[in-house]
Amino acid sequence: MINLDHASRWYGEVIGLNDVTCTIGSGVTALLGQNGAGKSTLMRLITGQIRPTTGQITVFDEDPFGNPNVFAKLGFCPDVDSFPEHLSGKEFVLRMGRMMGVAETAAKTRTAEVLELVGMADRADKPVKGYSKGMRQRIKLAQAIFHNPDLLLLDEPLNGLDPVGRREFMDVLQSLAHQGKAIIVSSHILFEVEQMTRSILLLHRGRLLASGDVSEIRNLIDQHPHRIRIRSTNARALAAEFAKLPYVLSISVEDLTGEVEVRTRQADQFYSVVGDLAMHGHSIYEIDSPDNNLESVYEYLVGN
Amino acid sequence: MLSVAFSSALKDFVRPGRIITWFLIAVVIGFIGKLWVGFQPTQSVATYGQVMEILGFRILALASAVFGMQVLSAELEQKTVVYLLTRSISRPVLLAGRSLASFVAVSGASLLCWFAIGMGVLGPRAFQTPGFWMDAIVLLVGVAAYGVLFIFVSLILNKAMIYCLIFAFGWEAFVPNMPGDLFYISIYPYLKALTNHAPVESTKKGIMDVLSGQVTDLTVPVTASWIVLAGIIVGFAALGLWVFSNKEYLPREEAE
Repeated sequence: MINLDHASRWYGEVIGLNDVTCTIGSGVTALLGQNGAGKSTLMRLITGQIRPTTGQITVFDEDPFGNPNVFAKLGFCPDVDSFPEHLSGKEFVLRMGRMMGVAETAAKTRTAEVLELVGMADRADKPVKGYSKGMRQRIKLAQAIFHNPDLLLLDEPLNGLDPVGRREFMDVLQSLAHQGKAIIVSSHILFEVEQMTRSILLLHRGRLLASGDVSEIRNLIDQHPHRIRIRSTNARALAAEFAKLPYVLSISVEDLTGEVEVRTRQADQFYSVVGDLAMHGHSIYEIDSPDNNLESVYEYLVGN
Repeated sequence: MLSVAFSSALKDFVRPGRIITWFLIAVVIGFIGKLWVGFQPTQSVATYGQVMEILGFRILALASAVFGMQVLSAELEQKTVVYLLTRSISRPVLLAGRSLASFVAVSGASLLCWFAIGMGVLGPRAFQTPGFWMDAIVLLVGVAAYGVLFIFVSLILNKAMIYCLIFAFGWEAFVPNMPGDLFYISIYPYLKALTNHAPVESTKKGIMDVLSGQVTDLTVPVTASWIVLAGIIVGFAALGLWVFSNKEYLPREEAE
């Protein structure tokens, strides 16, 4: 769906994106990175607002820059909190929809549908200038999904949404993802991203540090051993068994909680041994890997 | 899609508040014209021409700058340009539709002022006055000429409004009074040549002559004026479409 081939983008002497090569397909993909990492530059490249300085980018096998064919299949929810303030939310969505080539009557029907979908049906007749941040986010999402695009790009979409709104927003995204849409969500809030997807693109200072499933990326980070916690009724006996394994780097036991924490670089093999031990009488009732999450991967790759 | 871009932009440009503003401007200008002719009642037709040149064509330039900036500059300033540029409408069609909408708005404002000046200075006999209807045609040509120029400037420069106003009220107001042929590099002298207003008879040149560009007796042939204006309209329209199709536009703060 989206292909970047050694794409770089410079703003004068400042580099926005540095030699990025990747492919993005269907499902939800999170675009992660700190401020200035290159997330917005990548979004602008994909949405055809700017061109790469070097390299190539194709969306649906076409150059996206100013390309109506691409925009017909792409919905974009920008991070800018700007609207034609004199319009109502309904008028704005309708107008954006009309400019996607939808006829007046069909556009009105579709406007009502998408406003219902984003939970704005009862408030969309008021002018945008009176809207809260969360309401504005919903209107932006409504205009982005108006034409039922195959690819949806959401730049920091959860900003300003209350907890209920976030939950509803994520539900909408999940339902779109289940329809086979490709959804790219940029965020710097790891907790939110983790609730949406395990598939990430991690950018840092314009470079693509990692892409793929969080667990797979975690497995590739060999210099940081996996931490695995196992809770058992007999932690010491279990620790003794683990001490025999050559790929276990360290073991610590917490008698009070019955918890054994192991550090290993070969998590898969270790997990299979844990399974064997459980089958041979060790009462293991909880296994947890505290660093097999997005935040740990992010810290390992980017530092603090 | 051209009609969608056009109607969508026109709804933005011609809002009730703006209509009232331009209507009030026209009323004030008509009133000024009525006062003006009181000072030289024997030269009402020439006074009409003078008021048109001093106020009518300046209003045209002002309206062209104001509505020309709405085509793209305002969208960049308000950071709403991203919505426009990610629609499934080609950039040339988008620009053409929005430009046409701005031309309609400028035409409305200019013709309102033209009508007010005619009524204020000449009263109902304006409709029988030679050159009155020709002024309307020239105004429409001016709408296109100033429009394409100012829109082109807004496509290539930040804060284009300042440059357009300096051009319209600085360069254009004074170059026709300067010796030499610098006045060729402007629009107003060509429009003035097409209107062919009779000058107000007076013993010496005054501020009104300066403002209407009548200090020197430089003139441009009518045929040459039509050709130059047509060249400006076609040339800057083509350039504008090409630039807009190829240039990157980001919301203003981010671009800076």
